[in-house]
Amino acid sequence: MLMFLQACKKQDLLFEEVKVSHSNLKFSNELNQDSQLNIFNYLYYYNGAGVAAGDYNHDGLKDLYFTSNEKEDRLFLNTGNFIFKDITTTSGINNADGWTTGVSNVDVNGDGLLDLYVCKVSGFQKLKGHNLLYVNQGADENGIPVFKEQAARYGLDFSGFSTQSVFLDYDLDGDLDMFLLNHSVHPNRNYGRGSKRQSFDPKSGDRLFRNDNGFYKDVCSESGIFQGVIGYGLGVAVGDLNNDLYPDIYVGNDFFENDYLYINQKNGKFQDLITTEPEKMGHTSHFSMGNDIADINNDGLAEIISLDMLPEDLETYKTSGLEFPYQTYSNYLKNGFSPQYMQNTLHLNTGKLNFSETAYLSGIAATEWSWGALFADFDNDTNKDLFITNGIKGATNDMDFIRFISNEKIQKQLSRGEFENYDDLIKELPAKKLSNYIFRNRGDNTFENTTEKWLEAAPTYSHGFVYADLDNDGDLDLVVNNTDKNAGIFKNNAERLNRNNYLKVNLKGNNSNTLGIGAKVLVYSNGKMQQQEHYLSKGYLSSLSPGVHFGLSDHSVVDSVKVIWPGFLTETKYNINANTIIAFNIKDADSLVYNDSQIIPLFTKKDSLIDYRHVEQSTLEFNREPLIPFGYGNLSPRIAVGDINGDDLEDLIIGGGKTQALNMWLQNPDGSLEKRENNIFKDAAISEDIDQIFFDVDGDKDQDLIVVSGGNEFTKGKALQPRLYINKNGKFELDDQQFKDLALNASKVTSVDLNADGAPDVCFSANIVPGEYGKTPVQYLFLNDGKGNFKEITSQYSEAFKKAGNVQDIIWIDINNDNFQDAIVVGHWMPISIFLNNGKKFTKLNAELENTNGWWNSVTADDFDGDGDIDIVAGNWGLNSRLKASEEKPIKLYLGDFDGNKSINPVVSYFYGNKETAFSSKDELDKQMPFLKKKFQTYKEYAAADFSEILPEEKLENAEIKQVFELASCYFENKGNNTFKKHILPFEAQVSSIFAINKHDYNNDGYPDLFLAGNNYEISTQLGRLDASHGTVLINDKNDFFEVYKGEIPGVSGAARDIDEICINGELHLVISLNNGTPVILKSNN
Amino acid sequence: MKKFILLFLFSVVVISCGKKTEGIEVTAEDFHEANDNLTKVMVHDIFSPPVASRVYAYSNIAAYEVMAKFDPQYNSLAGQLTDLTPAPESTSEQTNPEVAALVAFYEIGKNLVFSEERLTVKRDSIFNIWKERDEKTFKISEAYGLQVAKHIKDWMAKDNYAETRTMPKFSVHTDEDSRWQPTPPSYMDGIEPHWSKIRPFAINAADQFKPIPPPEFSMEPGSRFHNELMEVYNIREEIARNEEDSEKMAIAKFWDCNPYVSILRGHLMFATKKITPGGHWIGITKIACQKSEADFSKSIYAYAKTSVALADGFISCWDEKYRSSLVRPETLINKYIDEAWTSVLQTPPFPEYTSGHSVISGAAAIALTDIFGDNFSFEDDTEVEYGLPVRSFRSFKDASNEAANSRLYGGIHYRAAIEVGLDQGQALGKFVVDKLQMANTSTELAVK
Repeated sequence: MLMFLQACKKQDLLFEEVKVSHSNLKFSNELNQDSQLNIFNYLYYYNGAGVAAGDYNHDGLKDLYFTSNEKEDRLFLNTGNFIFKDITTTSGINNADGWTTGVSNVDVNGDGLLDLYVCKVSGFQKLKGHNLLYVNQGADENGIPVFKEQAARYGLDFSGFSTQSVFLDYDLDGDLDMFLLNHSVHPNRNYGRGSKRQSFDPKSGDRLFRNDNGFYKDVCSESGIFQGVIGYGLGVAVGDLNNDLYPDIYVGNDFFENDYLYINQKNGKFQDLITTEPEKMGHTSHFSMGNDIADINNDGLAEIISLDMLPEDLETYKTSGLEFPYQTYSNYLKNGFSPQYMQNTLHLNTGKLNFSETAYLSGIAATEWSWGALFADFDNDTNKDLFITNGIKGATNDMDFIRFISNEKIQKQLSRGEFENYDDLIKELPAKKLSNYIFRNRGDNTFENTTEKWLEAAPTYSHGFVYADLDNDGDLDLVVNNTDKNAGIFKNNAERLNRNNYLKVNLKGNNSNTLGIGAKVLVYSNGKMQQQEHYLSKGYLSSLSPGVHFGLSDHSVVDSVKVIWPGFLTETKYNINANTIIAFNIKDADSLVYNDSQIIPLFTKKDSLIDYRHVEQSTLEFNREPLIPFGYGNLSPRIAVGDINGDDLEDLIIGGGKTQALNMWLQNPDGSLEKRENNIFKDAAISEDIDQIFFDVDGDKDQDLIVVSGGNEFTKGKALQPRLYINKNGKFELDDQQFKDLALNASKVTSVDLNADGAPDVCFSANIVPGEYGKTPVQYLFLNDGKGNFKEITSQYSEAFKKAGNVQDIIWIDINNDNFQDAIVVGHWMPISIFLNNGKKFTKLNAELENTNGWWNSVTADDFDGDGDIDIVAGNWGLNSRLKASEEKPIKLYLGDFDGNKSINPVVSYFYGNKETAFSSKDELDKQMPFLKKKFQTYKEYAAADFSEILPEEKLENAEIKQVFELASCYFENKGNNTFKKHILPFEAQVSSIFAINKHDYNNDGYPDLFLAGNNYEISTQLGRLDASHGTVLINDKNDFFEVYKGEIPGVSGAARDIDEICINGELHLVISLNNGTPVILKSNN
Repeated sequence: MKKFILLFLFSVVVISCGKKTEGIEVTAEDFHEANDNLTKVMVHDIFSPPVASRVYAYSNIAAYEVMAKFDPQYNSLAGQLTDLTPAPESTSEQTNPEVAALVAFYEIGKNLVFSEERLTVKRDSIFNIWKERDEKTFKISEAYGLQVAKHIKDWMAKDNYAETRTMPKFSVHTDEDSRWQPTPPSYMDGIEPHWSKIRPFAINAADQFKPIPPPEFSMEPGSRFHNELMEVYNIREEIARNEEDSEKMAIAKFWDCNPYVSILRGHLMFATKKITPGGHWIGITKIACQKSEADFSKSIYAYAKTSVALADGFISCWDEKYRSSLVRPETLINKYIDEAWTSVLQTPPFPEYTSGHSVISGAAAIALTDIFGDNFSFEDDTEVEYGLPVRSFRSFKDASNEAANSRLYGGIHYRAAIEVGLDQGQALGKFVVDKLQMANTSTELAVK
């Protein structure tokens, strides 16, 4: 064993830092105090530099190349045993001028030797020059590789604001092309229009170079790459995201500019998915830094991670600049930008380019001011783990710095417009020197923060990094480029600590791509598949050494390894022993044969059936009540299906938004749906239709209609009055006498025969008192005399029901077999509540559901497990947000007049770790309750304060408190005596809020399955938005739980609100309504 | 004139003799300093212009109401300002009116600013000296000052300020080009959209001086609105050509009076902070007092009257701003002419029409002219501390005209907002000075 390992006390750490005294590797990215550049005139002054690992002298050991922003790049020869030798001067590397950023490995001339391409910033301030291509001339007699700068010869002497290059074969012609990521220095005081990305900026615009017989030709103008001045490109990754074997490109842009996801169109062109089909990705990171593409769940589909600067530390979070307020944010969407939030994003690939962003649920959303991310199997357990670098020397988003640079001397300089000498101001910038993060992949799409377990966490400003097996012991070591600190070399002790097996795959491509860049490697062992794509420029400003590494856990033999080379060539090798290196040569590969699977999907999309788009007005709720976490203005529309005209064909009604009329389609015998305009509906267009039902109100055997409205737009009046339309021979007539004094912000209307007299009665559910967030509205029950005359009897049946809460959904089902329909009620800030009906009164069932308070939106019930009683499935907010809730650590709503101005302030708190904290920002709270501004004069004081200091007990004396204990969507198993056991639905059901649940036996196995849909965009910008659901099918496992259907389902992207079944041509179709979108119709194929 | 001066001197002597507090010497400078201190804390705390005007008004009215109890030359504002009732009488002969007035001033100021300590530290550095010299007198005077302050606070509490805190934010409709929307770089929400609901001081209602509507919105070249938009754009071009030599640039910067200018440098944001437009006129009030060697009482009178004119000016102006909700030139120029265009001054976060600085400068100039006379020339060094030069003015109206024009030069207002705004402010100022009978005739005569 090595000497330094014996000396180390931290033997249990997976990564052990190799001291400089041992390694002789002396490199630190020191900024040059004498240069003309600083954070004020160059906004990326603190962005750090990169590193490349590669065996440049062919001695079997991976050497290291470090870029330095303002000083000299350095090349270190690996002499074994983690001892390095600085060979910069003898190697011909001479890059000490100007500003240097990223570095990439490539064999540009096909001689089998690793060349280096170095990115520079040129043409800015006094910076001159161009990007550098160091072509490897081979090793000299001492084994020192010698390089010659030949960028111009290859057409790669680009001069501009380069960040990083990636070499790839995008046109699959066998040679390596290059994507060049550039950044902008454009002053961004005005966010302007997104359309600016269509224009061309010669220095900032990204570039695509096609390799034409060894010369790199700029082909941007014909390739569909954005080249605008707003492209603040800081991260780029390449991978095949739709498994068409053509490489796609992800570009992370800083600031308000979108990230770009370029899908390869297979004709030399790319198309950005984020601008063309925004629902597919949902939101992205706002201040995007480094990124990576990798298949993290071994399902054969590659994921995308993009880093941001969200602090994990609560106090840092509360003192940092936050997202725009909702209104400003809405404006910038209107100006042509996509939704972005300050958080790391992890876009899980669910197929067909539908991505679910799950960084919060996966546990990796907040890693402070972050730069580089790479997925790799550090513990060789077959799951790719995650390392993230972070830290910044001058954190420019500190709110106290922004508002109260206290030094009056500086303030005076600033007022005089003396922006020449920033030294004093720079000194005031808070530094964020932080520990890097490492996460273990649990194998279930979630990550465990193992920073403390795996690293000797030390504060650094860390930027570019790579992993590489530096000592050839079968695990991946880490090399990190730090600012103002020696580079970190971390030896991986997996070989000693967990003794997991591994496999290395070496690739030998053709002469134009000797490294086999772009090859896809699939490893099958013990029933598990792993996949990696061979791209070298990854993470942040850095480049991996060629070759692919897989962890194998305890698998001693790999069943097969399959390599798919760019250009549809493939080779598979079988029965390979673990802990070996296996080599593939493209010469041995055959043409790829597609085996089209003949699996019939569960559903087929039938888009053309109706032509309609629901239109939602942009919400004003966050203006009226700035402290609320989410709005109630986007809950429409719901669907009603029934035979309107008595032709035995099911017809369809879908509600309209405010100013949009109710829409009606009649089904024709050929299965087409014909839209019928109806003036009687147009008269009520001002109402935001929330729900409607068909039922026979007057006993004349046809379908009458009741429509309820809401939307938090009106506080009273006709727009909130339930509308009863009587069916007269297939035509609707408004009965304006019923419910004429009623106005409620409805969430649901249901018909139920409460007293079992044969006449359907009606129940109106309400979710809010308009404009008064959190206040409990009244629920209504009306008895029908059988002729369509209704009488309110809520109080007679149950006062508790009347005040059940902020009800979002209700179902009626006979749960105790007494032939009376009982109510299962769900909503916000309230538990799943069951009211037993005896035909005269309701009694609340004690069902062990008391502490299930949630933000429930939907409920369904059935005997899911086939044991003869009724089980419940309820859709909640989900687990994919900043908020967490439990009985011990609830989300709380305090409703009270805390500043004595006779209006109620809704203050929401949640627990972050063990600390209760207000959800709203200091700025918003200050505005609503000015006494807080007096109490906490700095953001730092506010951030450090306990919640009890913000709302002390005396202020809470008269406050109403509501709570949430559960955010997960759940299955409640009836234990046989009408008490229920909670089961949390699987990961895929927790990625977003669920607003619609359909239950149906989709696979004809006799057990009801589930189709879940939802999403919510009307959320405070501090929480981001819930857009990760593209529809989830849960198949009943007949054993009291559900399995996620893994086959592809057509994407239901957008804010889904309702799912209803309609029979067309004798076949089941699901109609799924979308708020502010076009309904999706799916035909069931079983 | 002579007669007055004698009378004046005489009365000062009488009052001084009556005090029997040789130990405590209070001068007008102490009151100027009090207003200065208040200004500094408000700059630190970043008060928006309308809210700052409210702070100046209540603090100075509190001091005035103390002073008017003692100085027969001045009449209480009770019954003259909306809902203000007479303050309690002093029960002690030993009360030092100046001390009591300053106590009341600081007490209200402290109540209204956020960083109380920044104000009380400065207050106590003076108060402690007086307390040391004559503790008994100081305490008696302090007690009375606090009593009046309490009276003012009770009145203040009913001005609707608290209620307006929880009223909705201003809703932006970006689909209509004519309507205001947030401006770069901070895209702040519209400030104080409900300020017209604040109880006015002297005027009858927020809309009493409702201006004519702005020129009809049109992007048609040749229309009045479009011409005015292009005027803003062309002045910016002209300034750019002349750079630092531009007189218009100098005027724009001198009158910027933006309490919070956001500066963005990449990820880096910070703010430069200055006094508000109202604060600038409070500064001019001090200059006029000093130049005319106004005594303690007259200084309070000058501040109180000017601050009432300012505060009502903001209420009147804000009423119109959120009525017409007119778009700022920067928004239109960025959208239709030049996306990279920036105004010389940072566009403040509220609708364009009418110009706040024009309205309140118009009103303040009328108030100051009423007190100190027309053609009162002065050197305005109010913002030297904030890095701005000294400018000379022939009269208050001269200064107010320049302040109004500065908004056009600064690229943040069209001409109509300035011209109509100045008229609006002057009419309001005239109403205020006509309505408020503060100084007794002898004083008024003397000045004239």
